[in-house]
Amino acid sequence: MLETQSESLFAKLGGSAAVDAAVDKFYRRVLADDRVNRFFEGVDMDKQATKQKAFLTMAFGGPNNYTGLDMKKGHEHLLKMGMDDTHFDAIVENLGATLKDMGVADELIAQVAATAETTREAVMGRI
Amino acid sequence: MLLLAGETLDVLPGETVLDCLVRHQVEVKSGCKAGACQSCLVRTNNVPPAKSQKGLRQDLIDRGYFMSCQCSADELAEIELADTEVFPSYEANLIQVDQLAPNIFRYWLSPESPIPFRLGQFVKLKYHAVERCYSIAEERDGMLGFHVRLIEDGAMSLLLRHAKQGGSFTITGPLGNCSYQAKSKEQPLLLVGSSTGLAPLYGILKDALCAGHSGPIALYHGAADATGIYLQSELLQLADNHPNFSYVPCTDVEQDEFRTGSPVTISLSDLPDLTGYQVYICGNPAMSRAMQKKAFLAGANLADLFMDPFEAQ
Ligand code: FES
Repeated sequence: MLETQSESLFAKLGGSAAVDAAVDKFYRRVLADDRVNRFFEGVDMDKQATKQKAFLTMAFGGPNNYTGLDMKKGHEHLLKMGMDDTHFDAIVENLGATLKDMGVADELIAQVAATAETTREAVMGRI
Repeated sequence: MLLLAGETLDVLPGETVLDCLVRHQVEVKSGCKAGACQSCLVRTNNVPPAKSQKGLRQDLIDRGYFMSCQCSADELAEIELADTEVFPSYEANLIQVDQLAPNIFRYWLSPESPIPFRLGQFVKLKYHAVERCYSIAEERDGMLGFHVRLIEDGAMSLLLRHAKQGGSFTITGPLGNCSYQAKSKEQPLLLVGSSTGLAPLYGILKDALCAGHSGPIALYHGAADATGIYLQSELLQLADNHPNFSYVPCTDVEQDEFRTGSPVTISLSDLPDLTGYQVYICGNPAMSRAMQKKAFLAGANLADLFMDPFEAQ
């Protein structure tokens, strides 16, 4: 059930073209956001952008095979840097603002936020 | 069957190249397994399926890179891991050396066979067992022109100081993504470089003008002081002949007719909004990364940022 629902979300948002359109806008917002940009200090921007793209694909309900363990491992270094739930909230907020800028309907934005939310426990290392 | 570095890997029906490598305990990175994160890149001399190269940088596509999670293992005959890529090598002779500034020289090398390249890309130059990377700044009569700043105690600098006409070099490459690739002839271009970071930018500029680029092109070239500003009269001449090209030399210390400050700060104060721009950046790594980030925050898209950081050596 969740599968079909999320696939249709991905299609409704415009598929991978929507991810391509969103990735620069989203990443620019995150880098300009003083609450979270220190976590991105000194990282290779091109590599980071492909990670952002993978994240957006996942949040948009697109194809992905991330496991909770992948998510946990990928964020461990950020936990050591002091990442907590407020930072996760800030990212979701930036994601919502990006989509709003792009003219996406509130109801779809809520679905994207809910998909992103499913990774919270893994990202925070609580699984 | 799939050939990897002379070894034959058996292939299960329906498995991806990535799965096949993992099953044979070959170390390869992966992430989304859905063609989004590009962490699973490997390369091939065969033709990989289009979806396995979707969204990749052009120079990677040209070199046969593809996402191994997006290609079934039975579609290809052989693959190579990303970090074992071998670039072709060419022998070349030194034809001429021009002095461009007190410590900056242009070395003209003539390769024995033609090298496919675009101005601005870089190669590895090997001379008497010392190897360094240099950008291809110019081309003339089949010769390649490299800008080199000779530094005190640099291993390559010491050798090059005494290089004689006819001296034999090995050229490996070309590598890199820093070459003229505007999406349209009208797209505005910003070129920012320090020291001999001018080399690739000069090549890109020449290519752009040659292609009839009609959008604005702004070049900001920075150096510690006036002795690092070179090819100034050529660039002023180009600016005279091409109204869409502007040239801004800048120096860290206050000096002569130059703007004072770093080319990063000065270019961004002149051009605070880079939406729609293509930006080419070449200089030391710290300067390049700072410019990349600032240009992105000023509105340029990541796919329009080309960077070629180098270390003076
Ligand atoms: S694992 Fe993400 S593109 Fe292949």
